[in-house]
Amino acid sequence: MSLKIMILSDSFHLRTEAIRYSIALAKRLDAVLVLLILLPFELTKKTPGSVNTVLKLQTRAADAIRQPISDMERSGVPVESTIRIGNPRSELLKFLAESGKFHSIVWGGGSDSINEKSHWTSNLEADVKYSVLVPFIKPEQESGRRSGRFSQQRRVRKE
Amino acid sequence: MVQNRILIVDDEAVTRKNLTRLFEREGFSVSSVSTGFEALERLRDSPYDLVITDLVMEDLDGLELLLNIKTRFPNIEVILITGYASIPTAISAVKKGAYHYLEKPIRPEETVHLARQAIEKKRLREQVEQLEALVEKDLNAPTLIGQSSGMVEVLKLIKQVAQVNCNVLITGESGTGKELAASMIHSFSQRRNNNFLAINCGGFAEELLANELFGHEKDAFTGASSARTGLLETASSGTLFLDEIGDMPSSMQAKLLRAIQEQEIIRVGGTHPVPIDVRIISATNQDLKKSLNSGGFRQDLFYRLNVVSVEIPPLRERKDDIPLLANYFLNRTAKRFHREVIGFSDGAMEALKNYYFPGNVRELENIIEHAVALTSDTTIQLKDLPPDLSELDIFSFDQSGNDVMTLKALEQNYIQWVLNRVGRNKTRAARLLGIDRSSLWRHLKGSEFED
Ligand SMILES: Nc1ncnc2c1ncn2[C@@H]1O[C@H](COP(=O)(O)OP(=O)(O)OP(=O)(O)O)[C@@H](O)[C@H]1O
Ligand SMILES: [Mg+2]
Repeated sequence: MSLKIMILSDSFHLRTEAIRYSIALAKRLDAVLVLLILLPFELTKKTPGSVNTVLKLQTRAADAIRQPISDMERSGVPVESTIRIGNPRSELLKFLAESGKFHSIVWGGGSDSINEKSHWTSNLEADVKYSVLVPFIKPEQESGRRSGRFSQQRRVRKE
Repeated sequence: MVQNRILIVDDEAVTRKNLTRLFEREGFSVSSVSTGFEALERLRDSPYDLVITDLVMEDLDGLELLLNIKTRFPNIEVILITGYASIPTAISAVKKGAYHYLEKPIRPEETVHLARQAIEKKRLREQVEQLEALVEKDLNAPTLIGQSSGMVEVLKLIKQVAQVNCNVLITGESGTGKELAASMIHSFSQRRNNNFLAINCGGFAEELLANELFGHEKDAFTGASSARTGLLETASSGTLFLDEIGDMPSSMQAKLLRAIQEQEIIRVGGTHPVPIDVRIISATNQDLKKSLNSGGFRQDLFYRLNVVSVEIPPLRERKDDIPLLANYFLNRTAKRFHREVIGFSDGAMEALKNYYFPGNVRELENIIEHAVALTSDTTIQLKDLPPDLSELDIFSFDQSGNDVMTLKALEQNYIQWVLNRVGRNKTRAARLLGIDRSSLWRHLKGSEFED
């Protein structure tokens, strides 16, 4: 039985260091990767064209993760991916209930959003029985490289 | 504590006197001689940890002395003292096995520091050799390696509990050595000459698991052309290891409880009870106590299984074990692949000690095996390790108790750490963090560290 490592994000963007780290960890533990994208969305009667919005979100997310997925596959690590749209917290819990055990969860979403108190991940450890790993680039590794990466991140977000 | 024993070799009486005084003040036991030949005689007669020798001497020079020591007393470390002119020779001596060289004039602090490091390396190597001798003496004896206070406690408990014939629950994160601990308990117990069998309770569908544990009678179900004994029966007089016990379906929990209480089982499709005498060691990486409250795991079974509990701490909480384990895996792999790899560069060891190891010892084992296969050096260098070890910091929020930090708190710590690194210059900190100044300010506003 292979171990499973989840990469979790709540946006189209996956942090490069999260992808790199998940691949490296999966290789070392002979694990498979499961990419889970949770897009926050609240369905209300008042919103016209909700179905269309959901479909659009779905397509955009599928486009956005194509590259990371092919990176993972190229590095020889098997990967599955799932996109869920709705309340991220309950979607995550449902997904965990359906999919059995994970070895660990790597946070692949933005690094400042999770900072906010109101963010859906706050106090997540109460519900989720896994440790959630958040990789950061070491400050001394920086200099120059960072700006490039982040301008790239902004571009993705502005789209 | 053992006193560190140093032999000083120098043809100049002043240097001998100064070094002797320096090391004696630091609590070392020191002898000194003035020639390489005398040094070899001393080494033959009494044990030393470290030789500090001048490089340029008459008759037998420092380099020749080094080669002699390395062939005759390979465990003794050697540090060379050299003038500026002979640094290239000193460097080549390090390649030939010297621990390091010191450039004249001698700086006391550096000298003592280096000597301590050299002796520590020798002690570590001796420990690993002892362990290997132990493992080799009895190839079947499983051994959990560790010298951290946490592991010493675990090992003590394992040896105690092995003598008592009770069920044991082993908890710990994935890869901490739970299965190894279970087989160690078995091998120290009275049952050691009987079976040690293992099954992963999470890996089977319910019917299959029943079949594995309890066995079945002939014609119990379609395809059961003959009777088969289950693990509880086969492990009789021995030990049964139930891995991932937290994943056992609840109907199976009831059957197992009955088997433990009655000390007998009924095979699937059978009617006659069969007596069993089995010690059950179970393992889980979940918090079973939490599942008790939520109804996921039966309380009565929990208390039957958890007569004694052994908790193996995660590797990140016992970093003292990392050098020992790393050297152990290195020697084992080097031997297996006939590679001449003898240790780690300081940088490589530092990177290992600083890593988070979510996969615990299993992950360390894999990293070392790869590094040994990869390296073109006789010592593992930083570049032989996975690049993420030196390039990334791993933070985590986990559920292992009340003292865990929220991601928010972790972020705050991280921001404070970055701020300290850049002399609390917010513009630079924001740039490093990849956010703009105003959102850094927002993060800080909520924290008590605001300044
Ligand atoms: N203290 C140790 N000394 C030597 N080897 C160890 C030690 N701890 C673990 N190992 C090795 O690490 C690997 C993982 O250990 P083991 O399978 O016992 O872990 P586990 O806790 O059962 O993990 P899981 O929960 O994933 O099943 C094995 O190869 C084992 O030999
Ligand atoms: Mg195991």
